[in-house]
Amino acid sequence: MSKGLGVFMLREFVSNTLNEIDKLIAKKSVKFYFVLAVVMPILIGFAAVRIQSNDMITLPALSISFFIMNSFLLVVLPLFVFMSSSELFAGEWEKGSLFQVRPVTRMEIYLSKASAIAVLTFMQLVVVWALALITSTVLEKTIIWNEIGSMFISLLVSIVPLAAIVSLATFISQWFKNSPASLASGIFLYGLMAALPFAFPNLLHLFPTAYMDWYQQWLGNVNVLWLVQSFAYLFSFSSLFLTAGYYMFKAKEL
Amino acid sequence: METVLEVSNIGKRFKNGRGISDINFSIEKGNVFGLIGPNGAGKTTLMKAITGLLKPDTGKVKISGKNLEEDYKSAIRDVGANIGSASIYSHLTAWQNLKMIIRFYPEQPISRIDDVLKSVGLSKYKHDKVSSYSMGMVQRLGLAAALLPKPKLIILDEPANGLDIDGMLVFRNVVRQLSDEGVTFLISSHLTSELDKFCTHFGILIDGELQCIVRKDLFSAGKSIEDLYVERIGGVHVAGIC
Repeated sequence: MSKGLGVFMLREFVSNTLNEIDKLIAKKSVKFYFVLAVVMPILIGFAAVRIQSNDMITLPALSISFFIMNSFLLVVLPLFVFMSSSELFAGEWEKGSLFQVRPVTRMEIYLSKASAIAVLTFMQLVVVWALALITSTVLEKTIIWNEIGSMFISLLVSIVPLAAIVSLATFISQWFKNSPASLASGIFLYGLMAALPFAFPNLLHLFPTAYMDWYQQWLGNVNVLWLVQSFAYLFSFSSLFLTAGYYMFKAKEL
Repeated sequence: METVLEVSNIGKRFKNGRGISDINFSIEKGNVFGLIGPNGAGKTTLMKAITGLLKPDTGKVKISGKNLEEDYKSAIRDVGANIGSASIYSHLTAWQNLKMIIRFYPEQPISRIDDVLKSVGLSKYKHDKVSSYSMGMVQRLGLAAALLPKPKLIILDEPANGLDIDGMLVFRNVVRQLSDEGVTFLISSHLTSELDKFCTHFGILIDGELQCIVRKDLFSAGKSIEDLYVERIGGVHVAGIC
């Protein structure tokens, strides 16, 4: 790498992260996801209470708010990550706007795009977390302080498996020159990683999909060794795909 | 005279065999260099190589004495460019597009956005999405984007495409005024008659090779760049010019 391209400056990184966030939130599809983050916790909360009150089914040990968080962590947010990554990488490459004549290096562009996706994903998680708490408080007519604390921990630690999915999504997007193909491939791969362990249980812990509800390991009796192992795995996974993705990104030409 | 752009031995070959080879030229401060050539001659490829949008196979580029490959950020800070659709996002407004650019130039006040939009005649439409713009309006916005950081060197790829008469006048005035102030231009176009009005130098690029560089003030009376270009395309060398 040349000297100029190797200089990483925080100012340009922050500027470009803000740009990428601006680009994403101006898109209708991204607005839709945020509306979903507001509406779904309320709908799921009401539905769960109705099901329980009719004795149709007993929800697992999870409370309503954890059920809502799980729905987002396992399905909605990964979809959002793959969609955003497809737009920012494959979509922009297709339109010819992936690189610009600006004082910003490719490393800064790549990392700021990934950061923008992570920031918006986390923002949605915060919205879901807050609304899930409010909904469960209103519906259960009591404030469970214990739950607020544990949900806050779950909120913070959930960023680790989500970061692994962001890294994977940015890597996948480098292979495509149009966003629909990138999005479809990302979803297919995510589905495959989630489904394969049902046929081959030994594969379960090799895929980041197994760690999406990782936060649950932080609640109750904490197995420190398991947490360290899984953190090391997720960190390595993120680093590997982020590096491989950057390697491909750096070689692109408009 | 200060050399603003120095291109040495630049070459780039694509898989389909097309590209540019062994391009050498330099542009002095305040000059307006018109790059002309037929479609597919390599004008855009050359401009992309000069701005780092693609990596040349050979050669080097220096902007204000700074090597583009070794000191990219510092070199490109002096450049404003509009090459293809690289700087415009159609789902954003003109103002939002320019705001994204000015973030990289903290020395420029935010009011600079309104100034450049006014100078290209887009103030009225600044909060409209670019997707609703005509091609000429997009070209004006591209020009505004290139002007925004107050660069020493402005690189424009086919800037006259889609411009109406009013747009042409705006474009011409901007180039003349800024070159008088010492800003250097590299402009590609196949509209030779338009470039003839304000360029100080011309480079003719054919089949990826820079055939010749000519100074406007050395033209014979009554001779236009179009005459030279047509003769060059036809393989006829014009004595005393090229």
